[in-house]
Amino acid sequence: MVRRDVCDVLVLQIMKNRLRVLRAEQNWSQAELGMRVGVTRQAINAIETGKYDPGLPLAMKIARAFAQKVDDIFELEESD
Amino acid sequence: MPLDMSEGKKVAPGAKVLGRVFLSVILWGGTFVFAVKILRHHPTNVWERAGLVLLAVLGFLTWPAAVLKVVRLQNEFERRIHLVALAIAFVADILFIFTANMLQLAGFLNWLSLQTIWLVMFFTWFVAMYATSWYYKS
Repeated sequence: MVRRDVCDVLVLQIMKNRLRVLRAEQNWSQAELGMRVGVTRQAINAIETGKYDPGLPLAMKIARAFAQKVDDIFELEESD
Repeated sequence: MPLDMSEGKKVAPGAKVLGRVFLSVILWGGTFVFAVKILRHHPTNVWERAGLVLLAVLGFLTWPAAVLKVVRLQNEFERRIHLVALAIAFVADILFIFTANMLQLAGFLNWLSLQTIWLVMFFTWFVAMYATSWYYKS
């Protein structure tokens, strides 16, 4: 029998974010947001398209740029 | 809200970054060609041969040093690209060496030089870097 905690680890988790929406609200381009948090436009695009999950320092910089909490921007979802 | 440009300032301009790596590859290639050219004449002096080996190895070391310098200047996104590219290149290299090994055991391949192996490893790293960068930045 497989233990419950092992099953929890094996569940595929996907990070979703509201970056595109928040950016649109501020009327910022990807390049502008990238400049504010110290990364390239391509990095912001990769985060928005879900290709790249930012590390904690970058996530916190993004949250600060929007004056929000990290949890309000990034959400962990379990996938089937 | 003040702009946090501390990380942005550290990122070297693309031309400078590429130039540094390009120069190191030129230096590596130059010292390698020079050393090989003399070693092919089979010099008898042991110090001369050892010196040429050292020269070629030092020439090579400029390349990982340049890449390391570049990686340290980059942000976490660019570092992730390097990491993923290394993982892809590693698997590709193992696949190449393993396949060559099997071909040797099966009698299809008699001999494979170490030079071919490291050239393939460098090539796979380059291709993996390009492909990974294209995937994340497209």
